[in-house]
Amino acid sequence: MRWGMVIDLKRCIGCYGCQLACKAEHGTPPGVYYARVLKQEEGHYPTVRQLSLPVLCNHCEDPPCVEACPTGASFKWEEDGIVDIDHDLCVGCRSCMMACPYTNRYFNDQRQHYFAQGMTPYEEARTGSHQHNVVMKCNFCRDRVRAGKLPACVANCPTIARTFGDLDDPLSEVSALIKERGGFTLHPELGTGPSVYYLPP
Amino acid sequence: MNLYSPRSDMPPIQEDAWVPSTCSLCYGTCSILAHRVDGVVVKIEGNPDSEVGKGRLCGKGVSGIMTHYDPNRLRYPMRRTNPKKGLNEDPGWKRISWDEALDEIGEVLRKLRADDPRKLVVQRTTTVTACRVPFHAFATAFGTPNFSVSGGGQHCGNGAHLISGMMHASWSVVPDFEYCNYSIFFGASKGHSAGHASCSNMGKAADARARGMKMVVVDPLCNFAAAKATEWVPLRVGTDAALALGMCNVMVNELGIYDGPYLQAKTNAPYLVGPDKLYVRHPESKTPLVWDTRTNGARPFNEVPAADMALEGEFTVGGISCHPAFQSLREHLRKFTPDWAEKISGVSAATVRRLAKEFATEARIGSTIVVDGVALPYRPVAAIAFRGAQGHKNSVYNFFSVTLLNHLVGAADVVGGCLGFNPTSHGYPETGMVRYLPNADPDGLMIVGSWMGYHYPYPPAQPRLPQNLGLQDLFTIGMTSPFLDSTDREEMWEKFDVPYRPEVMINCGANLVMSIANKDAVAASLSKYKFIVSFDLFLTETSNFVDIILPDCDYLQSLDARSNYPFIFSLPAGMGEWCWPIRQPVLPPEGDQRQFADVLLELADRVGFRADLNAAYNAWLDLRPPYRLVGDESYSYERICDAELKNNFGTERGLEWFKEHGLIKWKKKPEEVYWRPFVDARVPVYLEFLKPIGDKIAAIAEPRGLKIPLEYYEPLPDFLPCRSHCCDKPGFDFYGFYYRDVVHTNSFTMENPWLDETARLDPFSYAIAMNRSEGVKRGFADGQAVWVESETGRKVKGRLKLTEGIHPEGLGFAAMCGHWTDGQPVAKGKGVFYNDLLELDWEHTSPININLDLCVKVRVVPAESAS
Amino acid sequence: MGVRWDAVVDPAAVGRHQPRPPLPQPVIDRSSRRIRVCVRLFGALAALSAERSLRLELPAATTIAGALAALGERLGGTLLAQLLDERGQKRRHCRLFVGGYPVEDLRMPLHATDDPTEIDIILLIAPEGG
Repeated sequence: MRWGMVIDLKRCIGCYGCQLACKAEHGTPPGVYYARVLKQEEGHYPTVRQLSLPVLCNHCEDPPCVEACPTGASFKWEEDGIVDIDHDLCVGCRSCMMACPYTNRYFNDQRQHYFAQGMTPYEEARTGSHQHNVVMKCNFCRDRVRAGKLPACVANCPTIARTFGDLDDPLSEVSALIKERGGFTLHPELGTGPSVYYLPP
Repeated sequence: MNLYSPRSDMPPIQEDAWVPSTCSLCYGTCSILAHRVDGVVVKIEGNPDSEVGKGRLCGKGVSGIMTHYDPNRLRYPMRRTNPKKGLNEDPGWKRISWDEALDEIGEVLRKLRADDPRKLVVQRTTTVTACRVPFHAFATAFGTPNFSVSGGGQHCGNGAHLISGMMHASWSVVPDFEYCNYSIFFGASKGHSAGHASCSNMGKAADARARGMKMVVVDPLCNFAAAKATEWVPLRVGTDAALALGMCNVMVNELGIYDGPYLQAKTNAPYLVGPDKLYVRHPESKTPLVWDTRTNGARPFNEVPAADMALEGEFTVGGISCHPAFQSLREHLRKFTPDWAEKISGVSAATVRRLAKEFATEARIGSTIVVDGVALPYRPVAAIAFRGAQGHKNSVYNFFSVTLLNHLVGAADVVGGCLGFNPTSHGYPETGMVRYLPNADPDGLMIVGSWMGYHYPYPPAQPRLPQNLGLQDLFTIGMTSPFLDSTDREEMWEKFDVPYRPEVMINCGANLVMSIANKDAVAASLSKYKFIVSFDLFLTETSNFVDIILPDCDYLQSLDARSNYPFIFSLPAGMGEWCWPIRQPVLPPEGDQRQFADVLLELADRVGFRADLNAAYNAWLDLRPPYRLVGDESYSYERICDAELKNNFGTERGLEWFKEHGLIKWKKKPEEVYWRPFVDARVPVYLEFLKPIGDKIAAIAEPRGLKIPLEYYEPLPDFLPCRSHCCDKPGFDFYGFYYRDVVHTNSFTMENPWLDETARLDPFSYAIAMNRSEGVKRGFADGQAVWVESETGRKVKGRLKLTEGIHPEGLGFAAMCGHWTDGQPVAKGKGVFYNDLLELDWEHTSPININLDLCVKVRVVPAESAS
Repeated sequence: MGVRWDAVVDPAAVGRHQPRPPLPQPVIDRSSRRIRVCVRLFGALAALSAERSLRLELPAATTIAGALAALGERLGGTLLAQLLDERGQKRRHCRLFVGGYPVEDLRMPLHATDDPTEIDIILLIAPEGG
């Protein structure tokens, strides 16, 4: 079983629902977005299109971050393929951040909050539980998934652009979409083997 | 003891609860599930049970947590100690108790009501749909007709809602995403941004895209809908009518493609018009006549089978030469050649022809389809418009010309075509309540079945010497009015002998200093008020003019029994299910925060008009016995909500039932969604009734010194230029306009730090978009700070975003940013305050629907330093 | 042409929906008893009128229109002009309730009953937006 995600760029409209649902789910501190939406325009006037590209940790099959980690804090779950971080083992050296070609890791250096006046009750509940001086990133909402739910970004997407499922199952929806619609990954030439696929816009 | 506190029925704090309710970050009011753990809301998700959002939320919806927990929220009532009011005057806020606040407000209102209740202006923000009925009921009961929906209303709808109502019996229009094959969006982003049924529409639009629906987006800016368009058609700002009329001409006169039977059956196309441009009517009954081709004579329209009505020909009736309205339309359209359209809009003549051909061909006139076992006409094309096309002086003809495309091919409220949002409902099956259908006036033209107020789009009320401060009873085609705050309002009131002046305002959440037009104009207007009360979540720029501020509960702390009703407003259109969600408190008030609905009830009790308020609620909520409010009994808002729910859904389904279930649903029928063939009403393709209205208005206004340009009241549409189109000041070579952003709502959401952070990461949200070539030509760089100056000398500052995705003459500003209040420290200084470029007076207002002209001719110069 | 636009549509389909519950019929008194009516005015109307609640006695077979005319005679043309336009049609934002039920058709007849028939009149707000 290998969890994977398919993001349909034809459907995505760049509403930032995924970016913000993820933030709300995990209470990430200022500046940290496990899921982000990049925007790029293509073409020249008047033949122009705006592309919205949602990105997140690719949970690579051959993750450079795991290889780079000196303590074993960065690891890949054998049972489901999710690349995760054991924050008790992380010493905050940030080698993984340098290793990741997708810049999808973040360093949580200190207790931060959004308002000058201090932490809100929400941040106490969610942000406050994150450790400091460690690296943080998307883990495909592993707790939600193990409880039978979809990752927050997938569940929330209003255009239903994101699909989540088992890449090892040839009959799963994600496998079917990749095959039928020509799913592609980001920077395939790097050989990281991402588990996040995109369908053409 | 506070009778009005909702605490008594607040659910006990549970360890872990998901509470069904509704969002209020924009007026879309999508359904939510709020996750509360140990008294803290830790997540907001969509409610998969609900048709509104279908379990999903846009970026704003999931971010509501940070608006709620913002420490800058107002927590207790405050009174100014500094009597001077001004944009830069510190009010000297002093904390007071609710009793002190309501004592003073009650006294002011009591005196005012005894003097002249019309001196009260009641205002609300369009963002919070829940405040509509409570504030309308309050104004009704108090006895004032003076109601404002501030900038959100003024900018949004005098064109869009008027024409959507007149032609589709709904507040707005949307393609039938499920079946449409070819859609054209004129200045609209339905399904790609916020607003009416936004999250549901996002899913539907994505399905349509996946299915292969072609979407042509006509817009000066390539973003949102245009970003995903099959074809982006850039056009000069404010010239939508020109393109649409060019297309209509090609369809009717070059291609000869139009839906004759539809025009005969469902429009006033066959009605005979005489040399005076008015209907030829039966001498006794006054019924409009048509030419019966079978009997070869003129007869009342309601006595002739539609198929026998002539659409063309010259006839003589009672000695008068006349012809069907369609013939007038057809001849009138001839002058809108593709070359003409190109000259005005910038869209090439070839494109005009091609779009018209594609639209007319894909309309598949004459075809049918079966949906859920019901056979229906099938026209899989839709032309829609919204805020872009409507934000102009010429919005009536802009909007009308666009929807004329639909009506020429019969693609109106049938399968695949342009749909109103739920114009008909057969009612909740068990009770028959919540049922409404459009019907027809004596001329056979459609009257809406459901509307948001009582100023219907058709038939327009007869103009009279105005008694309303907004002059809407003179300019009866209009709806919201700029004259409450315009720089020439006093002049207008004197011209028309309006016998009173506004003295007191009660405001719910609107920030009109920013949202209507330039801040100085509105500030001057507000300074004249003797007393202003405002319900707010935060201090705003408008707070500088307020006397008493009341700390409002937000949507997570409030009750509302009708989050998505009327259905014409923000329930998804098209097939699916009817859905009636409610909003319920998830969290208690903080400090002294109170729900506005409770406060209004208490004020009515204190001032002594509770019986009137009860009667007003009965009328607005359509309460029948045994649920009608009686006498002057002091019903709580919970009781009123409970009454409404039981009134509509039966005795077992009151507030408690809805709190548990969150919503009620029942299946839609094809005859409800695709109602056009089943409702015996026609729509105008010839706006015959405008001329008499215009003449009446001129008869009242011109003797008093106000010239009415009657070209706006002609029965057939034209391209009438905005002021910006007529500006030829050298150096002023950009058309400034603002557009809605998906992460922001009016001036409300910039204080939310998640949304602000997201906006800062977005290339457009806080920037001024300029065409890259044009920018480079002028020596501008991406990110450069510039001053943008209007032809009247108003200036705003911002940073440029050079983009390929904007018309060379366009200058696009996202949302309504540029806050300067210290009360919203996150919002302060972010983005650009476009509205400061807008004038607010008769010259910049449409003389027919009193819509503000929102585009401005500007010049751009570098600013010295970054800021 | 000559083909119906909605040729495939079955008009009877509309009849199959659930009709709105009918307004209850009052007990019809076919005698020539005079009709007693209690008119209550709310909101702006109450502010315009010296009396906000008044009793009228009307001839048998009076309609709502007749009741309003009698009201106008009692309270003046200015008030009546708020309810009716120049053609005598009820203004849309003027809501009338007879015995608690909304009434749009002024031709509806009133009936003599034991208790006075209650007629509530209120003017609602016209403009809206957003």
